[in-house]
Amino acid sequence: MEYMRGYIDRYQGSSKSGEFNWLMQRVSGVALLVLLLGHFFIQHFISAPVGGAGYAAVAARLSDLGWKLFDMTFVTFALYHGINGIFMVIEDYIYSGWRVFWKGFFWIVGVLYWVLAALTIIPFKG
Amino acid sequence: MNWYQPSASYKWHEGFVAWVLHRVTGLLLILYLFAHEWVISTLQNPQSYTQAMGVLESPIFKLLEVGLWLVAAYHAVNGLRVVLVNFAGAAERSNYKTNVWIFWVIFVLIFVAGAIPMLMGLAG
Repeated sequence: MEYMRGYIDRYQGSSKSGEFNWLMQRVSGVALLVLLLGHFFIQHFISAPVGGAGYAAVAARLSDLGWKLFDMTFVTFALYHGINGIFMVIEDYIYSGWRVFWKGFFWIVGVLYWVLAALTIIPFKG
Repeated sequence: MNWYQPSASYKWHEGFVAWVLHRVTGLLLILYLFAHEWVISTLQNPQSYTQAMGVLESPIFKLLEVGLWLVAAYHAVNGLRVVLVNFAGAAERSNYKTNVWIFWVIFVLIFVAGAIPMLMGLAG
């Protein structure tokens, strides 16, 4: 895959495209502090111990438009932050053309998981 | 260990350890997110959701949940330290090590505060 080196330099060099993703990793990270800790405390510390993880309670929450918005925002930031983190690991350790392959692979994984989340959350009626 | 000859050696100072753990916990969290999404997608059908939750209510998964809280709390608190390092000068020569240790104290406090109700639920 060494012959793909040119593609890495042209399209994947972190000196050209990394700055935006670096900043967004901080921005999404801080957003996740609020979103994830809120999600964790409400779902797992306050609601779950009193039966809030049963179907009825979860379905009632997910039928609510406000919670749909919260969950979509949350999962979008979480997937972006997670996949972007994987990209950073890939850029640190993979210097051959496999870098293009793995980044493409995780792009697809990320998009598919976002679609799965959207299909679960948006049309949900309970 | 003749077969493994690293080309670089590392000093295991505070910041490096924090960075390694941040990376490891980050990868664990994205793997968890993938699994979590699969479980939640069973909500399309009440039976499949109740079945999935039946498995996850077992003590082993309850204990793993405490592990998840450990990993998530570490990544969140250390991530905030990284932001402070980047934007608020939290990694100057004079304050760097102190800040890493302050972060460890905050992390332990937050983890214990959350783990107590979780473990009480496990016992009760």
